[in-house]
Amino acid sequence: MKKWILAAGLCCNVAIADVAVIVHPSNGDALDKDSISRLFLNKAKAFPSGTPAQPVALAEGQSATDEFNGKVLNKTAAQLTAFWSKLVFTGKGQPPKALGSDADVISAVAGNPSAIGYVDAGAVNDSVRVVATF
Amino acid sequence: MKTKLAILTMAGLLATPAIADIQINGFANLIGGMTLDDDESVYGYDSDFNFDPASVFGLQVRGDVSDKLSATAQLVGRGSEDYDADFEWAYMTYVLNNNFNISAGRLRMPLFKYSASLDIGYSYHWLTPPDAIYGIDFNNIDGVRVDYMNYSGDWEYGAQLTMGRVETDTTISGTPAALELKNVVAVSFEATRDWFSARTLLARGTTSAVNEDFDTFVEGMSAFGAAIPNATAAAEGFSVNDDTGTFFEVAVDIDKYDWFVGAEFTQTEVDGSVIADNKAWYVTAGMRFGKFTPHITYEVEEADNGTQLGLVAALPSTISTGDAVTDATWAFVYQGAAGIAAQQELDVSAVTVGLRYDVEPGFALKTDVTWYSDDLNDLNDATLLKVGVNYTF
Repeated sequence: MKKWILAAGLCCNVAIADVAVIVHPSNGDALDKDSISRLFLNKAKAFPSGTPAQPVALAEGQSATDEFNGKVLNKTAAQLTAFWSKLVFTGKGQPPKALGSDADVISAVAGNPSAIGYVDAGAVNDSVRVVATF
Repeated sequence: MKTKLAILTMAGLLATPAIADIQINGFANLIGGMTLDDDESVYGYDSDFNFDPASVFGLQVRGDVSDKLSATAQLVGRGSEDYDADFEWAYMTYVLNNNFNISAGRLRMPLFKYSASLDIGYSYHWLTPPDAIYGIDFNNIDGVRVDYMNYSGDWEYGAQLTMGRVETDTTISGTPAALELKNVVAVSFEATRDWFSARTLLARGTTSAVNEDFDTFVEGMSAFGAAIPNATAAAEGFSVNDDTGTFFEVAVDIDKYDWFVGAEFTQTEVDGSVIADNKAWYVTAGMRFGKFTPHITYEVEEADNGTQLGLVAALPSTISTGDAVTDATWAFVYQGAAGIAAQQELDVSAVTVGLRYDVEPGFALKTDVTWYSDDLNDLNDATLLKVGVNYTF
């Protein structure tokens, strides 16, 4: 019986691993889901404070990527591809650069006051500030 | 030769070290189709399976000249043009601020809801958007476009101002003609809130079309102006020469992901020309079941030739000047005018049922069946089957 509970706990921890949205420690902006979504979908180009924003994505296949796309952007991978193809081929925008791992995103955000990224909540360290978790 | 030059230019762009950041994207729509009966033809297809009418391949290169300035070129090969590669877009964009940017060069004219991504089949559910609205002779314009976008609360909205000129091939009374639109000004607005979106566009431009046979006919008619007062007005009313064209479009879309519905309406008028007032619309709906998207569309296109018929009605069918040759010539001109005016009427509709299958992000397989119906002439009715692949990278 205990084993079953443990197994269930394990399964669900993996399935609902939180995704943390991170910015540079010097960035004091408060961001909600909509404003984060706008920054990552080329609809807003700056933080509420006016600082230009440079979103950094995480490569496909990373666990936080699907979580973020689904929970924050409300899009499946196919929808997101269709969305960006429309912008790319109309000259309206380019998707954020995708980095290979949580660590890469954290170091990119830690080194750039304009950056905003997302990683697995478990990977966050003191070099970045978490603005929201989903 | 054109292709070689284009590729060399592309290669030159790629090799230019001055442009620091270069993005290359591409798309491919390989679409084959055939009508299901031997003597049927529609949208360029007949009963022999054919890839040419709608297949499109494209490559886009974009380079950032600076933070604010970028250059974009799109090289496109269409099956309908023997895959001759052509620079359909070549423009520079300057980002004024977070809300405004300005593009200049040869760019897409945002006439319709799907204009911007017309060649990106992956971005919509059909293999090709409804012909009633999207089957026009031009989609690009040489000029300037100002794009504005912003958001307020839950709404995202934008506006576009496009100005320039268009030169393209068209047909008048079934024969090829050179169409020229000058002083084109188009204003569009769009708004999106979560699952709801709407857009509208108003455009006008000075329209001229040159076709030797047709021009000879118009001149012949106006030559009778001295004898038949209404002939001058009829000749003016038939010619497509610096006539004011107006275009209106509106589209709405509801997309709840599990299902979606959309509709679009357009109205085209070219005052004082043989081109009949045209109205077209479609409604479409679909559902998404995982990787499968079944959908259905009903489209209608109508052209009202009342004005043209009115010009003919004001003319005498025969005259008697005493000169047999003159009288016979007029009878011939009159018959021609009556025939051309009658030809401008259009009343067609179509039902399309299709299925999209998303293989992976950027890659979809589709099949559509279209039942096309010409309410003026049943002989033009046709059933069209299309299968195809959309790819983008």
